[in-house]
Amino acid sequence: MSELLFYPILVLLLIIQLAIVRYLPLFNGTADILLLWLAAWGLQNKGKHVWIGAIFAAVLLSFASAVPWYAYFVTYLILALMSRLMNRHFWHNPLIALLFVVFFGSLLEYIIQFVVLLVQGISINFLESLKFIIVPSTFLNLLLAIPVYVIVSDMAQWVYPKEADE
Amino acid sequence: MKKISARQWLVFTVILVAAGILLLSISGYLNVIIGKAASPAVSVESWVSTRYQAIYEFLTVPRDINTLRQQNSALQDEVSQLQSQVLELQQQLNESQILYALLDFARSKPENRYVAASVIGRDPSPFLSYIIIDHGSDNGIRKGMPVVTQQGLVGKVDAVTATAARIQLITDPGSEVNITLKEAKTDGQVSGSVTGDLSLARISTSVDLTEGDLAITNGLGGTYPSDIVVGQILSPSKGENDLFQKAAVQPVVDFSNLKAVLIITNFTPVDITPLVPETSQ
Repeated sequence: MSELLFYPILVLLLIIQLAIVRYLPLFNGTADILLLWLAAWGLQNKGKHVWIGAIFAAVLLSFASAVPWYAYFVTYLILALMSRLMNRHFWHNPLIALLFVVFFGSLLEYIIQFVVLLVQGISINFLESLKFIIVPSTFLNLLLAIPVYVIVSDMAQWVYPKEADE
Repeated sequence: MKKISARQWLVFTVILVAAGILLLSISGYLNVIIGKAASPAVSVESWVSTRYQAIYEFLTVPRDINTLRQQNSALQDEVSQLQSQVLELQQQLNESQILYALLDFARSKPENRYVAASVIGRDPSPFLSYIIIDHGSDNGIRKGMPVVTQQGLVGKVDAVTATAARIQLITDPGSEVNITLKEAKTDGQVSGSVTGDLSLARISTSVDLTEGDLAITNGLGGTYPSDIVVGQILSPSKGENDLFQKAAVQPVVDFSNLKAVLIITNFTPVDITPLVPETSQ
């Protein structure tokens, strides 16, 4: 039941993303703290409900962003799947699993957005996007991945009672 | 003759002494005498008093330090409160300066009706240049309305909720603005990009582009009203076999530091999409 706490936190993260994180660019790229939160949540042993979180985050972002809604749904659902798979296979080494999920999740997110915008008829230069958005954003995501994972892990210990772990 | 008694002599002597003292006092001689007589007593009193003060201070100093510490922390609290007040006032001053500038701009174009709004966020996608403002349809804002600042064109309203709206900036890769170059007196189009740079397109090679030429909206296409400043031409380039010239455009609006904007609410954008013939790919 206390897992419900993750949902208002996603709303809070969206507000932080729009009002703060988007104003802290590296070149033109910025971190995606919702993606980091979902990746860290999915890598928790009891984070099997990350799917619902991914859908919830995608709904929130669809309202806020001009990017078509399906881009976030596809990205976050694949991210949730990746994090659960990594949790099953690399449960003993969460750091590698985290960096793997964040790296490929970020690349996936930005490449999906690039393709979706291209399909919409917006002319975007791929090399420019790679140099100024995709690589810097992925780097920022990797940089913030560990602090976010630590926060989510601490929170998970409180949200998921110890009896439930065993 | 009646004999004067000893008691009467005593009374007489006392009256005489008192009169003498009074006379000495009036004449000023008494002060010298009293001064000389009191001097040792004053010295002793001074010595005792100094020692007493020293002992008193010695005994009460720790209590004073505590009092001073309390006063110090109270003053520090006051200083930090005043500092936060100063920051708040500075912020209010900045906001009011921005609003005054916007008001001046609005007064300079009385034919338009404006709604001022604060910028509260940006689009979460780094590919897009959109901002979110704190006014929506409840304040009369509708999709397509142009957005400006006192400096120039910002963009147009892309989506509206009751209390907020999303603005597509002219630097967005999907944005195109029809402009006229003031000196060259020719029409062209300014487009955005993923890096937030503006570029000029569709200017014939026969036109002489000069650096610093001002690009203003020409109203073509019905998306923006005319005569709003967009930017200045930078580094024009002309290829030998190109149909059109290229140039970068320096926007007049500082998009990285956009705090407040004006939405022109009495401008109705015209959707000319049905009139545009489909081009075969």
